[in-house]
Amino acid sequence: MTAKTTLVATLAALCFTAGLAAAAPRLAGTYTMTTTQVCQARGAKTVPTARGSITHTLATAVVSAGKMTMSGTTQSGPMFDAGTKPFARRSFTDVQTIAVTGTANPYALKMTKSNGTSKVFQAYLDEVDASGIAHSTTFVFASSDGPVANDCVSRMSLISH
Amino acid sequence: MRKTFFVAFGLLGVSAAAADTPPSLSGRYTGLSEQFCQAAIINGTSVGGGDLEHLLATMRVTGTDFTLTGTDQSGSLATRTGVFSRKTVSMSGTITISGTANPYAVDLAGNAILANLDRIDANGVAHRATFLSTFSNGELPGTNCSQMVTFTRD
Repeated sequence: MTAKTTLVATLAALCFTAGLAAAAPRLAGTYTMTTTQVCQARGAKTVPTARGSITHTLATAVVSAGKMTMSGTTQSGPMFDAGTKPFARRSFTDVQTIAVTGTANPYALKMTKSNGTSKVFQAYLDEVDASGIAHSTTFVFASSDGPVANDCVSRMSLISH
Repeated sequence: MRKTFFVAFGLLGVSAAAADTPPSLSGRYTGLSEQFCQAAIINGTSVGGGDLEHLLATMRVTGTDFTLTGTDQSGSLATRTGVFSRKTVSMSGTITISGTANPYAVDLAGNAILANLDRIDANGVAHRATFLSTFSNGELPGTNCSQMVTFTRD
């Protein structure tokens, strides 16, 4: 092997390695999805005018071609209650497009609804296999359920089947 | 040829039966639980209470019997003077799983739970389980508590 050939081969290998390092892991296949969301109660000391909320979700998420189809059960209720709104369950199905960007944990995961609204999560993608698919992920984000920004915190995790 | 057909038919029957059998939980699991219970408002006034609880535990399952031991840290959701405190907890009883696909129905010592069972090995044992449940702790009528637990096989 000549010096030139060696250099070219080395450069090619370096570029290939750099390319792999820069590519964010992806989500693909079937996952169990769990979420926890807590929204603050607000208002007077004795009686909160906004009673906050607590939500737990258990779902199956199927990711294919950049789309995540989620179907499962969510149970939620106010943080403060007078006995009239216990935790209630409902089934749900939702489809959103997803895109992962970044070069290392935490990545940015953008989920976009069909109406165009989107959220960007801080995402930790782990258990990445040889093909670049992440089998364990945890997302966190802040959001609002009322007039105040960031009055809710959420955590979502996906574990592949 | 006819015999071959019956063998194939038999294999299909076995496959169908296997698909209908829910996965099992077996061995030792690390459990992580998160629980919230609503704080009470009575006669228009917040009386506090409620509950925020985290539990780290080990669950052992043998057949349909389970034992769970761990550390629970809990405190009121709304309080003037209360703090979070830790205590050791234990629980045992019978666990049964029914259903044909996620989410399965789990009966854990009489508690009805919705469960996703994943990472099933060749023996049909789930190495990952997520339980979702609601229940009442008596502070308020109805299901005033929400709990989610994940179990990962050691």
